[in-house]
Amino acid sequence: MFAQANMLVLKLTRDCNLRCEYCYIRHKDDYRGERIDFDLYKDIINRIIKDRLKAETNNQKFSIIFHGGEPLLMDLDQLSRMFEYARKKFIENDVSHEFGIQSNLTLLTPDLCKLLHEYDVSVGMSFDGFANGSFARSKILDDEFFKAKIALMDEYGVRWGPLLVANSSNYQKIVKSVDYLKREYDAKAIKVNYVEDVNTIDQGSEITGREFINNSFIPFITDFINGKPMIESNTFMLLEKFFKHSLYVFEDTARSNCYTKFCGGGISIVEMEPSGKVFLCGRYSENYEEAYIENARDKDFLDLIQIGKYIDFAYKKHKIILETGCDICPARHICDHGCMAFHMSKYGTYGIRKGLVCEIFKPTYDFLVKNESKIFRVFLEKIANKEINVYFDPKNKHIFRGGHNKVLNDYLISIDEKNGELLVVRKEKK
Amino acid sequence: MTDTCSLCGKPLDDFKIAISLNVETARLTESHTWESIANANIKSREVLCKECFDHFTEVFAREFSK
Repeated sequence: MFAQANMLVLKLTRDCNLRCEYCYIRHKDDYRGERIDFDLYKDIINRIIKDRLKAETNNQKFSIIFHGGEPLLMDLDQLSRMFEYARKKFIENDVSHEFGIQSNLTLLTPDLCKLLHEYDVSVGMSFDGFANGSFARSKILDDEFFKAKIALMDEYGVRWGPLLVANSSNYQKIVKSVDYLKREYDAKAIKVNYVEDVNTIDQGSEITGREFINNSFIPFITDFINGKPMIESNTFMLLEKFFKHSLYVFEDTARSNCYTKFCGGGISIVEMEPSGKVFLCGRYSENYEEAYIENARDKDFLDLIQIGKYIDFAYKKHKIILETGCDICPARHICDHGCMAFHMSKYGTYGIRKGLVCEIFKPTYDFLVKNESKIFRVFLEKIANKEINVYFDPKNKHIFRGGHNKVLNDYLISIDEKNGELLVVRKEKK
Repeated sequence: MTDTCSLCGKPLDDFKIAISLNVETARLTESHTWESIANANIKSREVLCKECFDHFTEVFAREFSK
């Protein structure tokens, strides 16, 4: 179960003290008081260790993201016991690891900050932007609330990074909020997610694809080619896909988690409910049988159940991609082809929302092509200066598309045969 | 160092057999090229005692050699 994965998203509870308009977890009232059982939790940690050692992947970093609902509904002692157990066991068994927690911060206290700092748990801050950008979640989440919570985390040395969910009430404030976080807090990593409103067939709290890219991808890419640092991780991933594909003949063969054509849900990233049930993804609004893989306590010889379920999912997506005609779309190399979990939750079946997905990726691709030289230049400069690293599959080395873009002529480019790292050296000007 | 059989849990103190399943998955695109599905390229592994390995080979041989 965990041999193939780089991350466990562990829902400690589906209970939450907020009722955000766009949240994809349905029937939240049914989960009041739900908390993960500590004996089950210990079994999960032991299973991670066993699986990582068996597969000899224990030296590769494994992340546990404590998730919910709202995970800080667990009390301080419970969290302390859980962090301590995992850390002690992982260290004893030489399993490389890191911890994170995704929280709305409403229950964050100085004692909790002390604990998070002690166990080096980074905080994913559910934050939808300043200027009341989080009002679709709760009216108590105003600017002063977030400033106070950030100050508290900073005081105790807690690492944090914001996750913004673009929705109808905040999308015009995203760029300003990201700029503010960079300027005032020197934020290094921010994520802006597009999340579909699965609670209605209509648009609900969703924004259109155009509204999303005009208030996220396009301004962030523009900043990037104008020399500003790129701290929004989804836009960076998009740019990296474009750059790598433009440079290289083959498809990117690296494993991935979210927002890729065949996402790693259920295989590279394992999401688990408080009962120990594992589904292909945590974004399904209900427990669809089709998405169920297995329980944390089930035996799974050679991961056959997990692998079978994942490949069955990939086969279904393959068929949908063929039906939708995505293979001949020019934007196919940057497109994530839509979230299947959201589609299932919204419509009761897998599929691609062409109206939404194409409206995000086709104009974005056109924008990238128009700015290809500038994007290449920034990427190549950053790699040459060792500011960023880009990796290819080392099996397919030495095959470039050739000098279709003149910018490439200014650099010596190769791939490290050992690890696939792209090596770039600026040519001396004659 | 003594390992345990990943199927039955018995200590492996004199003999062990590691088996791997290597899965490589590709899809035929509309343009008739094979495209690898990175997340479906998977290698799983078990470390078995002699008894469990015998059982494994017997079951696989019986079911897949018909």
